[in-house]
Order: sequence, then C-alpha cells, then structure tokens
Amino acid sequence: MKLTTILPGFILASYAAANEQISTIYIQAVTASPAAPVPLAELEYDVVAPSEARVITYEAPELPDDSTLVRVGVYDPIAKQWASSTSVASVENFGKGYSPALMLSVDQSGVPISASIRGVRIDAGQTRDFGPQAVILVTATGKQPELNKPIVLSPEGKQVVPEEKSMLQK
Amino acid sequence: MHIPMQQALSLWALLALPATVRAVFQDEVGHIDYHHELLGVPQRDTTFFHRPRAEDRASLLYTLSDLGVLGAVNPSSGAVVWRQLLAGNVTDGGGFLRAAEGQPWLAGAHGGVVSAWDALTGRNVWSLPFDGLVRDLEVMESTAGGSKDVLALHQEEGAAVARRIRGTDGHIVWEHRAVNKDVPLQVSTSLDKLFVVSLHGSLLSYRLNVIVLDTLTGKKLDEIPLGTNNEVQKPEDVMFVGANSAAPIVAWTDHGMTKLSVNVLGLKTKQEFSLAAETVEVEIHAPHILQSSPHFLVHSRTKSGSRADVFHIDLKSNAITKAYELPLLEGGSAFSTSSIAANVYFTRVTDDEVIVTSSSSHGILGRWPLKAEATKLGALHGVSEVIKKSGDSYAVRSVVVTNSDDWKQIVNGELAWTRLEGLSGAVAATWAEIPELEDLARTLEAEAHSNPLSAYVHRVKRHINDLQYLPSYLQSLPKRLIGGILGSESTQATDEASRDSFGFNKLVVLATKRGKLYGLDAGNHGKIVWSKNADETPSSGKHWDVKAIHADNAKGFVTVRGSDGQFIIVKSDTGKTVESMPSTLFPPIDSAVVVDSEAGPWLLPIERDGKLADVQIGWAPKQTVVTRTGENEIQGSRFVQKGDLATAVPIWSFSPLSGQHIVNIAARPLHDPIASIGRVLGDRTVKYKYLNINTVLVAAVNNKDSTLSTYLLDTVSGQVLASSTYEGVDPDKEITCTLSENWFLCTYYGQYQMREAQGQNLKGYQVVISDLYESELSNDRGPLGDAANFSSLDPVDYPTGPALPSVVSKTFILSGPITSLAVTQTRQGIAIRQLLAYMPESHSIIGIPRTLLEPRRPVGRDPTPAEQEEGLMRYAPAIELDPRMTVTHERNVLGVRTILAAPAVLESTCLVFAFGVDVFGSRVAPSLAFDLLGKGFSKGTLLATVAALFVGVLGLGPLVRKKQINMRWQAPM
Repeated sequence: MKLTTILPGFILASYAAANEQISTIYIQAVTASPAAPVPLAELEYDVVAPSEARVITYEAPELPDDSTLVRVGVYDPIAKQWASSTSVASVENFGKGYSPALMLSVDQSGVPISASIRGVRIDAGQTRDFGPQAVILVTATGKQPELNKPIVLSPEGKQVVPEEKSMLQK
Repeated sequence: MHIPMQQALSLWALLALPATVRAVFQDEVGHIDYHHELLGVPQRDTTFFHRPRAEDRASLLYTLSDLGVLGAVNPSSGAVVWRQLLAGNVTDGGGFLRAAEGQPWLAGAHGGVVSAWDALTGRNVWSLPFDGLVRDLEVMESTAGGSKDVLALHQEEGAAVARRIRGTDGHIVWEHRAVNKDVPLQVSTSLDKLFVVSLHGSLLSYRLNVIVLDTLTGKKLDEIPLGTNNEVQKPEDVMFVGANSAAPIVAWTDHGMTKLSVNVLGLKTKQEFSLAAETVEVEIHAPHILQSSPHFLVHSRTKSGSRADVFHIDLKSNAITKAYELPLLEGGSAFSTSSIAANVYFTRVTDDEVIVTSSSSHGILGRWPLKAEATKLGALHGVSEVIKKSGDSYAVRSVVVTNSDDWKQIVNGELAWTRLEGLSGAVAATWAEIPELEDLARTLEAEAHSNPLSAYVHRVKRHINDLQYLPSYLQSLPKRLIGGILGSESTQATDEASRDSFGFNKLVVLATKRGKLYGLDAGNHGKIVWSKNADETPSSGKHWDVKAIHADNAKGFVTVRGSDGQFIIVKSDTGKTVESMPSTLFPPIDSAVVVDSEAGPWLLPIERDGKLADVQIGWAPKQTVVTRTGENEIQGSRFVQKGDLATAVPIWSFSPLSGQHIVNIAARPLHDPIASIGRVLGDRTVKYKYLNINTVLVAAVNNKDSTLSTYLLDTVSGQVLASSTYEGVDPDKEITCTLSENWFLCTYYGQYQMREAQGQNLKGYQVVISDLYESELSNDRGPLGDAANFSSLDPVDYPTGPALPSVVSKTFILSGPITSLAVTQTRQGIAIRQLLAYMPESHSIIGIPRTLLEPRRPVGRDPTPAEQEEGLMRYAPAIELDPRMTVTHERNVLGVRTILAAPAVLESTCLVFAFGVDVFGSRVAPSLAFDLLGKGFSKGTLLATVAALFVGVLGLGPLVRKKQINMRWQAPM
C-alpha cells in the first residue's frame, strides 16, 4: 500500500477520534432520602455522526427492592450534584426481556442536556444483540426561512434578467 | 368549457383563499363581538376640560390614566375621541399632562420622555427623550407672539435639570442644571420669574428650597431656603405647588396633619393654618388659568367626611387670608375648580348632591340633588365646568371618579354617562359556564350509577316534577319560534345570564389590578352581570397580583388566588362571596394548578420557588406536578404518603444549558381534543401525529451569543423529547411560544446571515412552527404501533426502540410583531385551528389560520393537485399579517395582555376574549360557520317561498284534476 493512500485515512481517523466524546450516565433510585447516584453506563458519541454512538461500559444497577422509579442523568461526583437535567423511568425498564436504550440529549458541541432510559423488548428471533443501545439526540439547528433568489438590480435600478445562453454557448 | 384539472383546482384554491382568511363579515360587527374601549382610571392631576380649538367653544375631556393611556373623551356622550399610550406601553400610574389655554396641543411626560400631542387628533407633535426622571411639567406664557412653552423638570443622578421647550416644535430654548443632591419637586412660573421647588437635606429631615430662574435665559437669579430643617419628612408631604401666578404658592403639611404651611413663592416667610382634627388627607384646588383670581381651596378629608376652607391671596401685600369655609359633610366629596374670566367657582360633588359656590363669597350659587342613584356615588375626585346662564342661574357639569372605579358625568344633578373604567387594567380572567344545567347533569350521573330500578323510579319522579315547567315552556314556545325565524335567538338581551343551545352564552370572571372583580356575560355583549369593589376582595393595597384564577363549573364557583396567599371564592353567576381569606394567613404563592385527587379536582397552590406544601392524603394529587423552582429550573414532583400526609418528592428536574435563561414555558390547553390522529399527505399516505398530552415547551435564550433554544419535555418522565437552537435572536424582544395538538410554535425577532444563501441577510419578526409525528415515515405508527395506552415511564413492549417524535419545522417571516399567543379551541377539534395573537403595533387581534403556518408547505414548487386537495399551499417565506385576518376588524383594541379561547357547543365556533387595558370579545369560525346560518340568511323569505308553493299547489290542484277529467271525456271514440 502506498503511503499516500494511508496518510489521508490516518488523518481522517485521528480527526474523527478527536471529536468523540464520552459521557457517563448515573442512576439513582427515587426515594425520600436518596443514596448517591452510581454510574450506569458510559457512552461514546460524536455529534457529527450520532447514529454511531456506542455504549462503552454498562453495569446493571442494583436497586433497593421497594423502589419503583429511578432517576438518571449525568452526574458530577466531585461537585456532588447533577451536571445535566434528569429524568425518571420505572424500574421495570431493567426487567427481563428488555434491553435498555440509553438516551442522551446533547447540544451541538456535545454538552449533555439530559439523559433518559427506556427498556425495549428484545425480539430474540431477530437479533442477537441483547446489550444496551445508545441513542444520541443532538439539538437540531433551527430552520431558517427559505428565501427566494435575490433580485439583482442594475445601476439604473432596473431588474436584470439573466440572458439565456444559446445552444452553442451551452 | 373545458378547464384542465390542475387549472380548475388552482382556480378553486384561489377562490377559496379570500374566504378562509376573512375573519369578520360586515353584518356580524357588533352582533358577535363587543368591545369596552377603556382608558384606565383617570388620575386627579392629569384630568381636565380643554378647548382643542381656541375659536371653538366646545371642549373635550382629557385624561392621563393610571395605566398611562392618554385620551380625549367627548363630554356630551362619553365616547372616546382618541387614545394614545403615552409611554408606548402600559405603565403603573404617574406621569404628567398639561394643556395650554388657547393652544392646539397638550404636553405630556412619563419616565424621562416629554412629548406634545395634537389636542384634536391625538397625533404626536414632538417627543423628546431625556436622561433621568421627569418630576414636573408646566406650561408657561411666552413673551413672544402668544405662543406658549413647556417647562420640564428632570431629576438625574446628582442633578436637577429644568428645561424650557418651545411648545410648537419641541426646540429646547434653555437648560438649567443644578448639580446638588436636592430632590427636585416642582416648577412654578410667574410673569418674569420661574421657581424650582426642591427638597434639601436627607430622608426624614428635609427643608424646602426655592431656586429662582430668569424665564428668558434660564439664569439663576436667587435661592430662597424655606422653613427650618426637619420640616418635611418626605416628598409627598409637599402637596401643592401652584402652576402660575393664579396660585403663586407652595403648601406643605407637617407629618401629623395638624397644620398647613403656605408660602407665597418669592418670599422667605410662611403662613401657618391649623387643620381640623382627625384630618387624614389634604388636597389643594386652585385655578389653572392665568387671569383667574388668586383664590384656592383646601380640602381636608377625615375618616368619615370632608370639609373645605377657601383662602384668598392678596397679590400686593402677599398676605393669605381665609375667606370662608364649607361645612363638614359625611361621605365622599369631590371638589373641583373652574373659572370664567377672573371668577373662580368651586364645585362640590357629594354622595347626594352637587353644590356650586363662588370663590369670593360663601353663598351657594346652585344646588342640584342627585337623581336616580340607587347606590351612593362615592366620588373620589373630579373636574367641573361651570357655565353662567342669563341672570343669576348657573349650570354645571362634573366628571367624577367614584370609588367603584367608574367615571361618571353629572350634568345639573343628572347622570349623563358612565364609563366603566374599572374594567381596565385586568390581570386575570377565566371562562365560566352559566350554572344552570349542571344540576341535571349531576342527577343524570347519579342515575347512571344507581341500580336500574331505583334509577327508573327516580327518573319518573323527575319527569313528573318537570311537568310543572310545561305551561311556561309552552308559553315561551311561540316566542322562541318567532325568535328562531327572525334570527334573534342568540342575541336575546335579557338581564339575567342564561345558557343558549349554541353555547355562546358564557360568563367571564375578570380580576383587575386595582382589586375589582367582575362577572361579564359574553353572550350579551360583555355586559357586567356583577362586580365587586376592592374592599370586598382580599386585594392587598392597590396592586392585586393575581397568580391563579380557576372556574369550577361543576359547583359554579370561581377561585381567585393572589400572590400573598390570599384568595376569594365567588359564585360565578352572582358574584356572591363563598369564602374569602385575607393575605398573610397563608404562605405567598407563585401560582396554583388544578390537580386530580381522591377527593376530586382542586386547586393546588404552589408556594414561592415552586415549593409544594404537604397535603392531606385524600387530597394528594395523582399526577406529576411540574413547578418552576428557580429562574432556570423546572421540577417534576410526585406526592408520596408519609403518615396522614402526602409530601412532594421531586423526581426529575430540567435546566437549560449554562448561559441560557428560560424566557417562556408553554403547555397544552386543558381542552385540546383531537379529531384525527393522522395527516393525509399528497400521495394519499398518512403521517400519524405524535399526541402526548404531557408535554411542555421551554424556550431559553443565551444573551451572549443571541441564540434561542427550545426544549420539548415529557412532563411525566422529564425526558427531553426534542430540542433545537435558533441563531441571531434578539433576547431583549419578547419571545412567546404556544403548544397545541401535535405542534408548537415560537415567535421572536431575529437578525442573521442565511446559512444556505451566502451573503443574504435577514432581519425581522419570525415565527417557527414545528409539527410532531410518530415516525419519519408515512403510514408508520412508530415504535408504539396501535397500542391504546402509552406510558412515559414503562418500557416499550414492541421490539423497536424508544418512542421519540419526528419533528418537521418551517420558519416564516412576519410583517410585524405578535404577542399574547393563543390557539382556538372547538368542541370536537374538527375545525382547523387558528393562531390568535395580539399585534401591539396595530392594536388589533389577528387569527392566523393553521394552513398558512403549515410546516409541510412545499418549497420551490407548486403543490400537486393532490396536495392542493389536502390544503397545502406553496411555501412563501413571508406571512403578511393581512387586515382581513384581524378578528377585531377596525376596532382599536389597546394593551391586550392575554387572549382566552373557549369552545362553544357548535363545532364551528370558538369564543374569544381578550383583556388588558381594553376588554374585547368575539367569536371566530376557523373553518367558517358551517353549522350556523349567518345573519344574512333570510328565514322569512324561505318560509314565504314554501307558503307560496303550497298556495300554488292548492290552486293548481283543482285545475289539473279538471283537465284530466276533461281529457278522459274527450277521449277519441
């Protein structure tokens, strides 16, 4: 293989790797006196290609028996507070026969806004992949009005009609 | 003629277009809509009669109200001639308004801005913004050519600035700046001198200081300290500074209201007069016109009544003498002055009569008992015009503000007109059903739940009982029939509010910031059914900060909750107080929300910072309660049992990214029925709507990089369903959003460079609309499939993926700003929806059809015939706010704060009510009135045609029969 073909591929790979970010989703059982959140999963994602996000680590949570709801979000263990918005889900999402989908809303630079989790029934007949799925929701760029072509005016203030090219010119 | 299919369709679309956008037909004006054109409650010092044309004898009544509305009223009818918002928006009282005798303009000031207005047309002549706050405004004589100038006194940081401004063109003649820490109070003029009265010293120990300026140059001539230190405690103690040489005095009271000190401007001495015991308020009334005698009246108000003393000023010796006094009368009294040449007249309007005296002697010139007033007048202040008729007889007209916030004119003791200014300044309102059929509904419900036999017996009994109403029903039948034929049924002008079969008759309960509560009949042109004065409601002081208003239609009650924890529950049809709780007994609240509990629905108060107090277990809300816990945080809480009580446990929280702050939160309306779960596309496939009632839209802006972010939240789980950001948004301009059905929209002001077309810039008010669908694909119901139930918390039972909406958006440029967004509501949700919005720049309410704001409009190509059939139009980047779409047509609706929509019984119609400064109500039919005959439909003609045909049949019958018989007999042999 020639060096010239390897090099661009290498640069591209390193460029892509530079844009990848990792966020850790924490989980906490919703009770009147909650325990500290524990890490649930680590997601690796790239805001340019959100469909290629993947779960690096996933640890099935150990939840108190009496809890019905869990709270998930991105947590800052040093500051001991949630670093993103949080959402809740029932503990049944971790039940047998469901594979958890870990959803992370991020802004366009990849900063997490909110995290959520939802168990999806596994269709054993169709897939062998029973592991957790990562879903990255990147903030959409707002629509701008779709303007018509600008009107070009001549110095005299008259509208310039572009001359049609003859067959020969084409 | 053969028209190609496509052409025919586009022709059809073209013809249908004006019909869909026409909001109001001409014959519906005044029939379906009503409008209370209001000014706000007039303020004492900024209300007067003035002749807009010097050569004309007719005068208009001018006022600057407590809402900052400057307006002229025709005194003979009480109708508004013109109105303007003096400061450009609704204010909270204050401001100055002066008229110049013989000049065609008025001078006004509010905040720092001084402006002049044409007295006849209300057009702005000039407007000058200055630094600081205006403290006083006077009109002064100009030595040259009979024109008059305006004197404005501004307080800046560490300086008091007096300016003389030419009245005709706003040219600043001179400016005098006094750099000190004094508090400038007022200005007063004489022929050659100008006095600036200010307070010198510190708070609670002031002394008066008068600076004398030269009128021509503005140079300081002299400075006169008045009185001793500590004589005045606060600026409000100085109650009067005369405007000109007709009243060249400054007057102030001591703190205990025991004596009145009066100084003739330019002198160093003061004269003291003792006030009557138990005086709580003192007002001074003096003539404004230059040639009037220098007489003034001191009105002392005690707790139960009022008295007055009249003083004369000797301009030569500068001595003030008491001339006579007007006795203490119980009840409210309003004094006012009016002058004819040098004569000054004082008019006193009491609860039961009007008395006119001359300023020179105590003899009563005229006395008129008030007629036909069931309740006491309760005049607070007013203005009067006295006319001297032949001989010694006088006529007087007085316009007074009463303690019920009405503005009334009394001409010679007879009530000429009443303006219901109390309706202005509304802060909250709600629709309420007329409690009439609710009894029946409840009985039916009870019957449905009991065993069949007892229900049957109950029903037979009920029907026998109903028989007693049969005669009266039969009696009313012909009247109803005739009413139905003449089309007058829906506009029956009855005194008592009653329901109608179309559902147009509803009540509106309205709370104003002054503490008044009104019940209006929307079916009867917004007529006031009942009203409650501020002393009957738990409004603390002058500002009733209503946080929640809720109508319980099952009980017929309306609850109004104020910010200080006070609340009042009234009957919606009579206004009778059911329960009233003064402030401070309960903790202050941020809002209140209706929740379902075991004990039925109730209004849950949300305390400051979104705190939720513990409730009895039976009253614990079943839903997740979403509260705003901080400037930038929203929290979802659930109530869990803890002994006998239920406490709120926060389950999720949402904050926008750092640097952003929340500007608007929109939730779906309570009544938002969905008629169809899908949208048919041009290719006859269907896209299914994402219909989640538990969603809110949060709009947050970042001031630093001028971006707007919208977040769609699921309120049960707290999950962010969708988010998007918009660049180049002005964070200082209003950003409002609304959410309905499966779509949401936000409006903002943006200025940015186009991403796609390089070099193209865009600037203007915009609206972005987003549709939510279950799937990106058509004919696909997404991960949930046809499941009847859906949970935001539980796992998905189909091996697909999490259910997230697919968002389709379009942005449009608007031709002007829109605020106070609302979406029309109809009974079944079949009629298309309209976006109702207030246009603050043209003072009207517009109804933009949803078909115009359609995210699926094709860009850059004409819609296919199939798409046209589904109502799609070609995308155009700009939406013209067409006057044909305005619900208010030519009405000038001022200062709308909120628009309320409510469904009628008829599917086609939505009731609209708007409040703020004005009160406006109407009906809109977004898909045209397909189930209602318009006023133009002549039922009489139809009946006459049927009758004529019947007569024709009767007449022709024998003829035909005869002919047939003849034919038989004439049959060929």
